[in-house]
Amino acid sequence: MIALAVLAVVVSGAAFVAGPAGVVVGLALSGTAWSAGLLLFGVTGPWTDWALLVLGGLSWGSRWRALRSPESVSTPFQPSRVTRWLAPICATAASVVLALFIEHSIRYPDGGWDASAIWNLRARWLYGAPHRLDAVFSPLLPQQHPDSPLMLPGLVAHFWSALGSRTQLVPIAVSLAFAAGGLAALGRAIASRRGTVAALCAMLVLLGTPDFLTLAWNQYADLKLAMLLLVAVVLATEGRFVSAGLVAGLAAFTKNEGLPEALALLAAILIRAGPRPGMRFLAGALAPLALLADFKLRWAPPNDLFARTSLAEAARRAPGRLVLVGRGFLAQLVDFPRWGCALSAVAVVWVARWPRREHGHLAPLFVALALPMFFAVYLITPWDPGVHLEASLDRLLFHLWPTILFASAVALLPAEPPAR
Amino acid sequence: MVAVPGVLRDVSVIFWKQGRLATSRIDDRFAGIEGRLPPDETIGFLTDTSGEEVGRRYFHALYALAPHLILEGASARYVLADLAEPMQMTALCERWRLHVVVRGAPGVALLERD
Repeated sequence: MIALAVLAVVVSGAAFVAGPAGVVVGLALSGTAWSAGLLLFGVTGPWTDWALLVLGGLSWGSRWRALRSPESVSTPFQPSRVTRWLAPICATAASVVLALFIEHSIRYPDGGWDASAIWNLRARWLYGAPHRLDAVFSPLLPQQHPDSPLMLPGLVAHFWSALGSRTQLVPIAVSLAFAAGGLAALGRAIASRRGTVAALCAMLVLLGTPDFLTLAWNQYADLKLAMLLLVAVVLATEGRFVSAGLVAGLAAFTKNEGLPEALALLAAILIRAGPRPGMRFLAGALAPLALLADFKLRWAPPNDLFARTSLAEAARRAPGRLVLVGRGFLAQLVDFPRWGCALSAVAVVWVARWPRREHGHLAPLFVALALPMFFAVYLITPWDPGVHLEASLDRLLFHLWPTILFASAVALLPAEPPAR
Repeated sequence: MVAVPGVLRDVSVIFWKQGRLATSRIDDRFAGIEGRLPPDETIGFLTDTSGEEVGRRYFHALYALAPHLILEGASARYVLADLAEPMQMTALCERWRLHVVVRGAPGVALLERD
C-alpha cells in the first residue's frame, strides 16, 4: 500500500512537472486526492492512488510533447571556476541544515505548536475517525482552526492509512520532502534561466534563512504552501498556465492564505499575459478550488478572521494602524532569528539594482500584488495587530520567500548567454 | 556571505537545547489512557495550572488522545486531569465528585463521575 502511495506521488507529480518540483506537486496531489475521496465519497482506501496513476498516465501525453519541444532541451552542465567552489559550499550548508533537521526531529517528533494543535491533530482525526467528519471539523474547537484546508492533514493521514500505523515519521518525512524538493526546484528553475552560479547562490540564501529550517522541523503547512507557490509561479512563467492553475489550486487547498495568493497570481497573469492565459489558469485551478468550495460550504465552520470582521469595522480600524503595520513589515528586515541576513540582503539588492531591473517578468509582479494584500490583512484584523504581526507575519512572508528569490534572480541578474 | 549568518544561527540553536539527545513525545504523558476512553463520547478536561500553560496542556491532551473530543470543564461523565501538582489529584476528585479510572504519567489521570 505504501509503495503504491509513493508511486502515485512520483508518477502524478512527474506528469505535470519534471524534476524535484514534481515531488512537491505529487505530494500535494496525493493529499488533495485523498481528501477529495473522503469529503466527496467517504472513502479512504488506495483508490485515490490508482486514480492519480491513471491521471498521471493521461498527462504524460501532453508532457511528452512539451519535453520534445525545442525550448525544453536542457543545456549541458559546464562547471565554471566559481561553481567548482560554490557547489561544495552549498552541499555543506545543505548537509548542516539536514543534520539540524534530523537532530530536532529526533528530539521533538511531534513538530511545533501549530503542527500538534492544527495540522497533525487534524491528520490524527482523519486517520482515526474518517467517518465522523462533523466531529473532525467541530466548531467546538475553534482554536484548532477547523476551517483550515486539508491537503497536509489529508496527505499525512493517507500515508498513515497506507502504512497501517500512526508513526510520526510520516509528517517528518513529508516536511523534509517538501523542503528538499522545493529547494532543488528553486535551484533548477534559476539554473535554466540565469545559470548554475545564480542557482547555487539562491539555494544558499534559502538554506541560510533560519525560518526555512524552523518551518521544516516544526512541520508547518507554511513551507509546503511556499514551495507550491514557487512551482506555480515558475510554471506560469514558462507559459504553462493550466498546470500553474492546478498547482495554485493545490496551494489554496493547503492553507487559507493560499486562496488570496492564488488570486494574486491570477491577477499577475491577467496583467502580464492577458485574459486567455488567465482563463487557462482558472481551468487548471478548477478542480482543487471546487473541492475547497465543497469543504468550506459543507464542512468547515466560518473562518474566524472573516466572522469577526465587518466592512464598517475594517474601514474604522485600518487608518489608525498604518504606521504600526508598516513598522511591523520593516522590522522583518532586521529580524535576525527568523531571516538571518537574507531578507535584508535581498531588499538591499532590489534597491541597488532597481534602475537596471529587467521589466516584464511575472514573478516580481506576483510578489508586488501579494505584499499589499498581506499588509491589508493586518490593517483590518479583529485581533490586536501587534500580537497578530508578531505571531504570523514572518510565516506569511515566507510563503513568498522562494518566489522572491526566483523573482530576484530573473529580474535583477543578467541572462547567461546560451551554451554552444 | 549572506547565507553564513543564517546557517550559524541555525547551528547555535543546538546549544540552547538542554541535555543529551532524547526524544520527547507528547503521547508518552497520556500512555495507557486512550484504551480506556469510551468511543464517541465527549471527555472533559481539568488542570490546576493557569495562563498559557492551561492551553498547552489541553492541546497536548487533545492531540495525544485524538480522535476523542475533549472539551475543557468537568461536565462530562469522563474527565481527563493533567495536574502540575500530582498530589492535588485526590482533592480534585473530591471537589468534582470523581474517581480515578486509570493513571498516565505523574499528574495525568482519567477520572469518572461517582
